[in-house]
Parts: sequence; structure tokens; C-alpha cells
Amino acid sequence: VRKRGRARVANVVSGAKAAADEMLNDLPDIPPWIWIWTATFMVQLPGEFGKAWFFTSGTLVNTLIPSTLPPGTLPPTWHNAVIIIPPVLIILLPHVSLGLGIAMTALPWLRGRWVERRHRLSPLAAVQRARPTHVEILAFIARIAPDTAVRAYFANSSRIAFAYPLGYRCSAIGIFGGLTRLWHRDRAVAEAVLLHEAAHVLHRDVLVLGSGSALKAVAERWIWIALLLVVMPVTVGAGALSLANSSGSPQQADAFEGLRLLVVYGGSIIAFVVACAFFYTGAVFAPLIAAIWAAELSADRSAAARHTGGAQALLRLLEEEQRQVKGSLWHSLGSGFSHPPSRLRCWLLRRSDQRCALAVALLIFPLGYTASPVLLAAAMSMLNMAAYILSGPVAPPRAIAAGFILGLERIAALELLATGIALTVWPIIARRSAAGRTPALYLALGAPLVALGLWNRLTS
Amino acid sequence: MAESDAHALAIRIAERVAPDEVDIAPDVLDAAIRGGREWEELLRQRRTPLVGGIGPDTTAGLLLIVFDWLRQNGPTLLGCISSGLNIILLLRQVAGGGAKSPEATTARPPDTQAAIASLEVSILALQKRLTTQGQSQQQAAAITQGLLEELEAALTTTREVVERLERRTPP
Repeated sequence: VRKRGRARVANVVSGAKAAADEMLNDLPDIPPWIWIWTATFMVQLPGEFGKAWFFTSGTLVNTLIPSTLPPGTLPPTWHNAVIIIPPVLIILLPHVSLGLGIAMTALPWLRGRWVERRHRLSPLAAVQRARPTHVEILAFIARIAPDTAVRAYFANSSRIAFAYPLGYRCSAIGIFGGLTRLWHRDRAVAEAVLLHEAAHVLHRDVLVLGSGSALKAVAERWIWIALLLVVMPVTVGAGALSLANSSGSPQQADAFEGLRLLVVYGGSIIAFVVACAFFYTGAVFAPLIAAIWAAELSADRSAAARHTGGAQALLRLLEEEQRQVKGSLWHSLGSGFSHPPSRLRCWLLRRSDQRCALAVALLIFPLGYTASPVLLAAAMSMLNMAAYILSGPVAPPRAIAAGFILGLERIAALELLATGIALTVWPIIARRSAAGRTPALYLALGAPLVALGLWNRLTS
Repeated sequence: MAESDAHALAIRIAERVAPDEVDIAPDVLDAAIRGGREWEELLRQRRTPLVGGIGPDTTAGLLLIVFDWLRQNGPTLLGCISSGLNIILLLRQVAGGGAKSPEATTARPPDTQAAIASLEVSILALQKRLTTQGQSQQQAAAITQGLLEELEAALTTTREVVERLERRTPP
């Protein structure tokens, strides 16, 4: 019995060793920023949510309560609430959507089911007619990403392929009619595409890439959300306000007074909306976008490294895409949330074997991560501006500038230290990847970030 | 009609109009027959990429356009064919600027003439749709001719497919 027990333990240990070995072999040369960001976001979520609540409701209520305004300007009635509550919701929206996105990634089988339902993907056994091309594609996927499930929806010829999770240890590649068309047109490009998707599976970032879907969903509906939560309530609230003031003091009941109130309050809140839309949301989502971009660049590099001519093949696909959608703002915006700009990808692919390309790919996330507090500072300045317009004495321009500088001083410690340390130690962890061959580059990029972070912590 | 007949027709059409779509032709035909929201979504063809994915394929799927045309104009086409109209001749006349020959329009009942006129308009609309998707005039004409020739060559199967497209009963 003891011998059998020992044999079992030995089997488990050797299995774990093999799994760890396999994992080490699959590690990319770019640190798994999306995992690092997800972990820090989860830790900070309650605090960030609280801050967002304070940022909106606290500041707005302080700004709009009657005591800080000239008497009778803003009576504490329902239209006050109509103005305040919706923008509070819009400020909380990024956190709620990101939280939901991450919650979905914690339940990969649920996400997998949802993805399959949404894109009508089904197991290939259910696709009745396996043609030679399909068999070739399956064989290729089995070779480059063993143990990866394949789901298909061939009727859709506008999509090509994407990777998604089925469980914690199981992923799938969804293939569409676009892939079989590509297989016929340019086999090398189709193979490079599958290698890119296989890289997402092997790097295990399919589990968390889904949190970007929430961002995409919010961004795609942003105009409607802004209309519903800001423009409409502000218009109603400001209109009601001007009416209330007109009826309360007949001597002021002229059209110009109503217009003045509408412009002042409407303008102030719109300034706030600009802050919210362009800076605050950017501040919340910038690290995630940067992490997604880094994961995509990492997958590109992997496809280029694993396949002779892989970089050239991906270049052909991206250049064709650039030609087809040239000048399409909608496409640029839509793709910007999920992929780096095509020009950047092409530039990096052309230099995929050079250190400068690796350095740029490595710095994408640290830049995005540290940009977040800058955007937040800009958002706070915009909010101060709105407060100043509403209630002059509360926030003079000097305070606005001070608010921005204070925000900038927050860049630091956590963001700089975390990214700097991750960069510095990554060649030790991923010693079997390209990172292990160029540790000096990682040290050269990571050390200044660590030094800056320490300096910031010590001086602030 | 056996399932394979409809799919074989779809594949033959794909070989003529969009060779790189041969492998997906049966699936596209089945989706066209199922119709509904699925078909509308396929026609919309969103061009933004997915998170964790690559693409989209920026070139248009021609089979979608061709089968959508068949969904809308199948009965008219069958009516014209069964009245003895030479479809290819009609196509040449459409390509030549729409001048009608006596064979195509005369000595036929008024409702057949109306069907022929309607078919002419729909053929022109198909060619215009193909050109807006990036095909040249010549390519659009060749695609239309390939489609009509294949449909005419397998008339029994075509009739069954058109009926299924109307009834929405997938094989």
C-alpha cells in the first residue's frame, strides 16, 4: 500500500513538473500585463468604486447645494436630483462594466456558452459537411495548439477566427467562413492568423481578454448612454430650473434669464460630461486597453516567431485591412478598443527580430498604466472648471491648476513600481523565451521605472 | 430532393461565382433557407474586430449577396424560365444596355412580360450590389451569368431550393 501510495505521489509530482515545464515553454517574451492588471484591479476595485462615488456625488453635491450658490439660484427640488444622479451613474459605469467583465472572466464556462450562442458557434461534429479544407484547418490547429477545442460557424464569411475560454484549463478557437476563404486565397496568412489565436490560448490570456468585451460594449453604446444619462436629464433639469426661477420671481421672468440659466447650468454640466467621457473613462480604461494591446502584440510576435514568414503573412493581412478600411473612423474606433492600431502592428512586425520592436512592445502597458493618473488629473480639472462656473468662489482657476498638479503627483508609486519590477524579473521567469536571451534590455527598461517609483514615493 | 442535391448546386454556384467560398457554400445556403434574424445579421456583416480575435475579413462574401438575390427573386426567375424565356439571352440584353429583343418580350402574355421586366430590374440591382462590394462591371456580369447558368442547368433542384427559400425549411 505504501509503495502504491509513493508511486501515486511520484506520478502527481511528475505530472505537475511536466505541466510547469510546459507552461514555462509557452511563456511569451512580453510579461502577461493583462493578468497583472486584472489582479491589481480586483484588489483596488472596492476602493476605486468608493473613490468614483466620492468623485461624483461628493463633488457635485458640494458644488450644487444651495448654500454655496447665490440664494434662490438652485432650489433643492427634484430637478436638482435629475441633474445630479444621472452623471453619477455615468461616472460609475466604467467601474460597473469592468467589474462585470472581470466577473464574467471568473466564470469562463459561462462566458464560453455566451460567446458560442452569440456567434452561433457549434462543435465541428455538428457541422454536417466536413470538406477537405475544414479537415486541413483542424489538423493544423491540432498541431499548433493541442487540446484546444474548435467551434465553427462557416456561414459567416466576414469573421475569421478568435480564441475564447471554455473553462479554466480549456480553451477554444472559433473559426468562421472568413478563415476558409483566407485558406484558399493565401494559406500562409490563414496559418499566421491561427498561430496568433493559438498564442492567445498558449499564453492563457483568453481567460481575461474577455474583460475587454465590457469596455467595447460600453464604448459602442457611449453616445446613447451619454444622451440618456446626461444630455436628456440636463436639458430637462435646466429647463425646469429656468421655469422655476421665472415663476418664483416675476421681475426675472424674461426669456434672457431663462436662456442664461440654461446656458450656465447646461454648459457647466456639459463641461463635466466632457471630463467624464474623455478623461475619466479614459483614466479607468487606459490600463486595460494597454494590457489588451500588449497581449495582441505578444500574440503577433509569437506567430512571427513560430512560423517562417509568419511576420510577412500577418503584415499582408494588416496592410490589406488598412487598404480596405482606409479613412473609416468607426473602424478605427471599434478596433482601437480591442487591437493596437494597424500601423503600429505593421511597424513592429517589420522589425519583429529587432530589439527596438521588443522595447516598444514592452513599454506599451507601462505607458498606458501611468497615463491613467494623468487622465484622472485632467478629469478632476474639468470638474473643478464646472464647479467654478457654477459657484465662482468655490474653485478659482488657481485651485484648478493645483488640482491638476496634485493629480499628476499621484502618478507613481504603485504603477511605476509594479511595472518596473515585473519588467526586471520577467527574463528570470520566462528564461526559455526571447526574454531569457536579452535580460539587459528588460533591466534597462524596468530599472528607471522602479527608480522613478521609489523617488516618487519618497518625495511625495 | 436530396440534401446533397441542394448543397451540390450551392457548391457549383460557388465554383462559378466565388471559388474561395466553395467550402462554405452549403452553410450559406442553409442559413439563407433558415432566414430570419440570422440571415439579417449575416447580411449586416459587422466590420469591427472581436476582442481576442483577428480580422474582420474585409472582402465581401459574394455568396451572401447571390443567395439573398435568389431568396428575393427566385419565384420570378422560375416563372420566367418555365414560360420558356432564354435567361442567358435576356442577361446579354441587360448587359448590352437593356434593349429588348422580340424573342424576350413579344408573343407572351402581359403578366409574363411584367415578370420579365421585373427580372431585368432585379438582375441590374444584383449587378449594382456586386459593384458596390468592390467587383468590377465585368466581374459582376460574369458572376450574374455564372449564377443564372447554374440555376438553369439544374432546374429541378433550383425549383426545390427556391421553394425551400420561400418556406424556410432547411435540408
